[in-house]
Amino acid sequence: MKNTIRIQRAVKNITQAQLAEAIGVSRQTINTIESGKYVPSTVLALKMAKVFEKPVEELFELEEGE
Amino acid sequence: MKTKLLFPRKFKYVGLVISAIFIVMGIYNMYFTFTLEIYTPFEVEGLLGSSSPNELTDEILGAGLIIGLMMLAFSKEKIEDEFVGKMRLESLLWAVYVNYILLILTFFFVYGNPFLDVIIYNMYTILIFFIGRFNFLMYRHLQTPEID
Repeated sequence: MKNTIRIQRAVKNITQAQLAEAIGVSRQTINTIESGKYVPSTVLALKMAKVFEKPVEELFELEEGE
Repeated sequence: MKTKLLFPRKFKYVGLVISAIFIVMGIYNMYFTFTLEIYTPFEVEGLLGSSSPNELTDEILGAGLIIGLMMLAFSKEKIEDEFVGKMRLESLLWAVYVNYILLILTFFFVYGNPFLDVIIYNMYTILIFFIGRFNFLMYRHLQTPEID
């Protein structure tokens, strides 16, 4: 699962902590999502999409073989 | 993770104190004569047998340690999100595996009175393994550096 969260954060100029607070998780969880170690639930992904005002598919992408 | 099944955060520290006290008393009670001198005014028939405890030290230590460990194990973290829930579930699974593998080993390699001691410890090791594993994973998780 690839994600563009880090890029979106840079575009919107918010820190991991700010994003974390916006969607109700810890900063470290944002870190694990960005580094691809953890796949968030649908609800969390939708919340992120709402924060960045982008569709979910622009934030997350299935990789070959998944 | 349905957080209504978890204790409030403060219970973790209460549980830690209770567990520490009861572990020390419990281990001492296993190997030396030890009594809290709490007597029941009556004798009770056991549910599965006829022995009736009159002095409640064993019962209080046994139950007290379970309660203390459960409070320590199942209190909420500072921030409860889905990642923490996943860590908790995986730690529980890990603890069950480790506990039963060790138990099988003791079946084959420990006999007699020491075996009974191991079985007594085994009542608590699943919680202890979970506490160790979960807190280790959480510590590692909380140490991840900020990337901006």
